[in-house]
This record gives sequence, structure tokens and C-alpha cells, in this order.
Amino acid sequence: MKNTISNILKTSAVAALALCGAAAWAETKIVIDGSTTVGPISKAFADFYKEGHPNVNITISESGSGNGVKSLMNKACDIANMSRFMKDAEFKSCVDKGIRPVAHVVAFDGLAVIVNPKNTVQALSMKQISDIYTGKISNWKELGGEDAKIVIVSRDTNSGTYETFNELVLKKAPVAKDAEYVGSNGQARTRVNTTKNAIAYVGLGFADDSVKTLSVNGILPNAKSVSSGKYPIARPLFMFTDGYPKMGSDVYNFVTIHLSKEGREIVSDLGYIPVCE
Amino acid sequence: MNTSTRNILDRSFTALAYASLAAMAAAVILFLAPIVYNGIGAVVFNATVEHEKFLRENLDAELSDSQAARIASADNARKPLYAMMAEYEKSAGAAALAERLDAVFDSSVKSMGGYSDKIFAALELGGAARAEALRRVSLDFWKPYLDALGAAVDKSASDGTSIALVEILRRQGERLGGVSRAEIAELSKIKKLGFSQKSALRRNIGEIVSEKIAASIERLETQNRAYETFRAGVAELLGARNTAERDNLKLMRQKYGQTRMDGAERVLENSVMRIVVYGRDSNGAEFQRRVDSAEYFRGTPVEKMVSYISENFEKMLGAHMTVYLGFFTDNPYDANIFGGIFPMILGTFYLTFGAMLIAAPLGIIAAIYFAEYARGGKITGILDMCVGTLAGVPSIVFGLFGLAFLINTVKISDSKSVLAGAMTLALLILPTIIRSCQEALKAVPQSYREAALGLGAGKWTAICTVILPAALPSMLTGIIISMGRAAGETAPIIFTAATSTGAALALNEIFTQATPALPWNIYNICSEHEMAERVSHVQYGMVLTLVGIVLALNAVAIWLRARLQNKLKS
Repeated sequence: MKNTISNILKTSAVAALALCGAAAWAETKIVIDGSTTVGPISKAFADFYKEGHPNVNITISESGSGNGVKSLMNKACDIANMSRFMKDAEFKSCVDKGIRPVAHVVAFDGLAVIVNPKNTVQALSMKQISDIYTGKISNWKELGGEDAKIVIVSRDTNSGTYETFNELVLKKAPVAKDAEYVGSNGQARTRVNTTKNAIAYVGLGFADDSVKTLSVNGILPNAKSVSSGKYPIARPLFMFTDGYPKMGSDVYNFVTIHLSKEGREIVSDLGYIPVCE
Repeated sequence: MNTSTRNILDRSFTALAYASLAAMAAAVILFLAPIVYNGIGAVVFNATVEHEKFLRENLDAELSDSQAARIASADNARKPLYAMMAEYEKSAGAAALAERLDAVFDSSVKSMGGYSDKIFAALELGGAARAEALRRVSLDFWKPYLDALGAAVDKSASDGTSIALVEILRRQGERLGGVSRAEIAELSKIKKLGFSQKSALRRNIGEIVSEKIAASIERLETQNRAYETFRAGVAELLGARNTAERDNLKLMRQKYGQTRMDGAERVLENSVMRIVVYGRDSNGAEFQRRVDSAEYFRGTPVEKMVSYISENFEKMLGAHMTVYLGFFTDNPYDANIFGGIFPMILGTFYLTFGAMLIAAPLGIIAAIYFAEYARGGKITGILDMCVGTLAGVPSIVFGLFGLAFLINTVKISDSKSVLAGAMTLALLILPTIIRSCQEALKAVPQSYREAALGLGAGKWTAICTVILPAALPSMLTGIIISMGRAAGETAPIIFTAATSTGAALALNEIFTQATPALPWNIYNICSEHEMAERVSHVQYGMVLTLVGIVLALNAVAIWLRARLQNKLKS
């Protein structure tokens, strides 16, 4: 019995020491953090890149654009996915910490305004959407729909999708107090799919058959209308790196995938719009 | 209180106790039953042949003869559909139609010669009147072509030339420029034309046709778009049509169709039998609406495809029950849509055992100090309170601490890593381990200690030889149960160790690299995933695996305790 105990103690002590004190191995890895909107693109790029480079481990976390830039700032990631450009303050704190952010535009994205498929409303103008989100219109009746209160679903304020929507549609006006905030595109879609009177906005790649996409100012979002600038709520999607990555490095290869033919195909297969067509 | 009252009270208390036990059991069943039922669905399910195709081509799975036969028969069942689609896309009547339209086009162009007098007359006019007159003249000699074009567009939906017609019209649209140049040259030979006359000719001679062509193309494209949507639905259901097409596609989700019948039925319902079409309302605003495919395509060749699919749905997919044990041992493919959850299971194990290896020695030593050495002074009181407080700290605070202290300050790894996560989890379970070990040590009868000391053993010897062995069963139980807690914690690993996607790590990589882990990925899949409903079975599978791991750890704890107690008794 005594042996058992001392054995257990010894093994665990050694193992604990090993865990705590072991030197870090140099591994080829790419750490990616940030936007949930850019997430699917980087996941697909990772699958694509790993086919040709099996010993590179690519880890992707989707914690929102704001957290992505924080990660980059603290040197905790190699690539920060962002669905908006860096804010001035963020840029400044990056520079203060010795990080020089370089933006790579990997795709364009339209923000689709979605409602439940049962909703009879089909088209809204920018003004109407803005009025809904600022609380001036609160009933679907006012928009030609049924007599029911509008359930406003917005993305959390940490997300680039929110920033884009707030800037392009609301012109920085505050969102109505009774709006519901959700943490991701997927959640926004699920909420709209399960709530008859809800309205939300999601990245174009997330607008699928489970919800109905509304036309904005008479235009439905698709590759053509977004890249021609006709669809009014559109934005570029970024990957930020610290400085331009060294030519030929894994990070360099990764942030240039979107320029290749395959990369463009992946982007459009996922429902986003490739940068150059 | 008399005896009968007491009896009644006793009985009612017993009844109450049984009732609450039953309620608890019911609650556990209510809680576990859906988890188990849905979770098993990730492993045992009604699969389609696409599942085996995926396994064969990506995981080098050997297929049995019956499986190969099933794939072959499903492929055979798909052949007529693909033939119909190929015929429609290639448009059998297209060549004849192109010939006919080209002939009318040419004859219209030829007939222009007979109108030269009228054209010259029109050219003599000025300004808007000239343009109007030219238009009228051109309408005359283009009339046969415009009629033929209109008829072709009207018929295109029903005879399946819709796709080819777009190409034909584009080509003829391009020819228009050449026609007007030739005509101007021809007319110039007869009579010298001024610059403005030439430019008026250039602008007006083919204008009517190019307008008509543009409008027709737009109409045809709307029509074709509905077919494209339908075809995309079929591709989502059945995957690539053949190996060549499969090699060209980039995303795994496009290469293979639905691997599960429940998913296949959903796709059939949402994207094949019903499709989204686009239109314009009275204000000219675009809108989308969902229509019944059979209804929408009535009278066109596509209608046959729709009815073929609904009649041969099961045959084309080769539905069969299957057991996919690889769910636990395969890597995920294409954001968990295919494959298993091996990296998440492995990550959870690394984190849990790592946390245990760090926390157990520290916890045991601290517990020995508290139980055997500490002499109830002020400092001990404060320390004791600290441990108590630590146990009450919310787990997200540990997570933030791990990020701020271990990663950003101490820089234990340059970004998230299993090591940082394990240390954070260790801090989380440390108070529980200290408390349970302390209780275990306190439960050792005082007489043991006195006997050991009485026999001349030193304090340390007494602890090692007598007290620890006696307390070991309960200590181990406490440690293993806190491991169960560590396995299930999400908040501490969000910032320190967990990622949405990543490879299974080798042992030497855990010090620098982050890992997917079950609790985080369960959340991630249901909230962030772009096709959340397509992977819901994976989510249930993960939940069941996690619950299974925790239950197994607890079972081990109980078993170990019983075994050690028996051993100690003997």
C-alpha cells in the first residue's frame, strides 16, 4: 500500500513537473481568431491548405471581430479575421504594442436582411429597416404585413456585422432598447427561423432556405448585385496580419489563397463574393 | 403523540421519501433519455450510399460486397435523372433552333437591301424624326426575325431550349454590330453618306433587335435561375454527378450528397420539392418566394425530373441502417459535416488529465497540511477561507484569469494552448480536491494516528504508512469526481485552450497548441456553424460522449473506492 501511494505521488509529481516546465516545441502552426462571418472562409481555406501541407496545424477560433483584433494585439494569433476595418483606437493600440496591422481583403459580403418564411413582407427600403431598428416602426402592419409586433434581432456590439449594419443602415443611430442581441450569425438565423415575427441581419453566406431574404431598396443580395455596388448593405471581409507576412511562409500562403482560382471558387461556393472575378 | 399518529407520520415520511426518489429518477431519465437517444443517432443511423462513398474515398474504408452493390444500384437509379438533366442542359433541340433562328436572322439582314430607298428617305429627315423613321423602317425588315425570336422564347420553357437559347441570342446580339457596319458600307456605295447620317444608321438599324434580345435574355435567365436553384438542390441531395465533377469541386460538402436519410429528407423537402424563385413586385422591387417545384415547372421537361426524384428518392440514395463507430475515432471533415469527433475527444482527455496531474499533487499536499499540520491559528483560518472562496469563484473568472495571467503575463505559451487550459482547469478544481481530501483525512480515526505514533513512527511516516492509505479511497473518489467536472467545464477553456477547428494533437504539441474540446465545440456547433441543422447529430453525439465520459469517470471513482476499501479491509 505504501508503495502504491508513493508511486502515485511520484508519477503525478513528475508528470506535473513535465507539464509545467517543459520547453516549448517549435511547431508549424497558424493561429486564427476573430469574426464569425469570416470563420467559414478560414475553415474552408484551412481544409484546403492542409491538403497540400499536412504538417501545419491550423487552429481557428470564432470569437468576433473585436476579440480577433485584441488577440492580434497581444500576439496571441497570427491572423485576425475581421468583418469590418480596424477602428482608430484599435489601430493605435496595435501600433503602441509594436504590431503593424496589414489588411488582406479576402472576400466581399452583403448583409442579408432576413425574416421568417411565413412573414408576408417581401421588400423593405433602407429607411424602413432603419426605422425598424431604431424603434420608429414596431409593428409589421405598418409595412404591409400582419398585425404583430416586430421582434428585433441584432448582433452583439462586439461583432463586425453589427458595426457594418450600424454604420450603413442606422447611420450610427442607437438601436431600439427592446432589441435582442445574439452572439453569432447562426444564432440570428435560428432565432428568425423559429420566431414568426422576428427580423435580423446576417452575412450573405448564412442566409439559406430556412429563412426569407428581403430585398433592400428593391434589390436582393447576390454576387452580382453586391459586387456591382447595387445592393446597399455590403462590406469587404478582412484578414489582418502583423506586418506583411514573410513571402513563402505558411501565413503568407494562407492569406493569399483567396487570390488563387481555387480560393475564389471556395469563397463563392460558401456564398460570399470573391474579390476578383 | 400516540402510536398511531406516529405510525402515520412515519409512513407518510417514507412515502414522501420514495416519491422524491421516484421524481429524481424520472428527472434523470427525462434528462438523459433524449441525450442518449439523439446521441446514439450520431453513431447508429439510417445512412445513404453517400456515407460509404465518403468513407471509401477519404478514410480508405474497405467496402463489403453488399455495400459496393448498394452503391452501384443507387448510381444506376440516378442515371435516368442525370440523363434527363444532361439532355435539358444541352438542349436536344438547340442545334435545330439555332439553325432556324440564324436562317431567319440572315434572311432579315438580306431583305434590308430592298429597303434602301426608304432608308435614304428617312436619312434625309433630321433629329428625332430621323431616328423615329429609321426605327420604323428597321421594324419592317426585322419583323420575321423578331416574330421567330418571340415564338422561340415563349416555347423555350416547354421544349427545354431555355439554356441554349440564351447562348444563341448572345451570339446573334454580337453579330448585330457587324450587320450595321456592312449595311452602312453597302448604302455608302449607292450614295455618299454624311457622318451624322452614318452614326444615326449605326445607332438605329439594330436597336430594336438588341432591345428585344436583351429583354429576352433577362426573361430566359430568370427562367433558368429557377432551374439552377433546382439543380443546386439536387446536387445538395446527391452530391457530384461523377468522379470528374467530384475532383473539380473544392468543398467536401459539394463532393458528396447527404450522408443521412433524415438530412436527405430535409433537403428533398426544402430544396428540391420546393424551391426559391425570384420575381419583381408592382413597384419593381425584387423579392424571393418559395414555390412548389412540380407546380412551377409544370409542362416543362423539369417536371419529369421532379416526379422522378420523388418516386425514386430511396432508391437513388440506397437507404440502409448503419453503425458508424468511426464517429469516435475519425477526424472531422469540412467543419464537422463529415467524419467524426476524434480531436475533440482527445482534447478533452488532454485537458482533463492535465488538470488532474497538476491539481491532484497540489491538492493532496495542501489537504495534508490542513488536516495534519495546521494548528488552527489566524493564518490557517485565512487560508481555509481562501480555499472556500476559491471554490465559489465563477468559472468564467478562472478563464479570464488564465488568459490575463497565464497567457498574457507569464506567457506560458504564445497563444492558447492545452497547457494553459489544463492549468486553468487545475485551479478551478483545486479547492474541491483540497476539501474532499481534507474530509477524507479527517475521517481517519484518531486512534490510527495514536497507534502509529505509539509504535514509534514519526509524523511523516505515520501519514505515509497509515493515514494516507486509510484515506486513499475517499481521496481518489474526490479527485476523480473533480476530473469529471473539469471535463465538462467550458468557460475556463474558451480563452485559454479551445478552438473551433484544429487537428488532433500529438503529446509533444500540447504545450504550445490549442485544441478543440467537447464542451466548447458543442456550443460552437449549435451557435456559430453555418449549417447548424445539418450537423445537429454531431452536436448530440458530442453531448452524449461528454456525458458518457463524465459518467464513466464517476463510475470508475465508485468502483475504485469499493475495490480499495475491500483491499484495505483484508
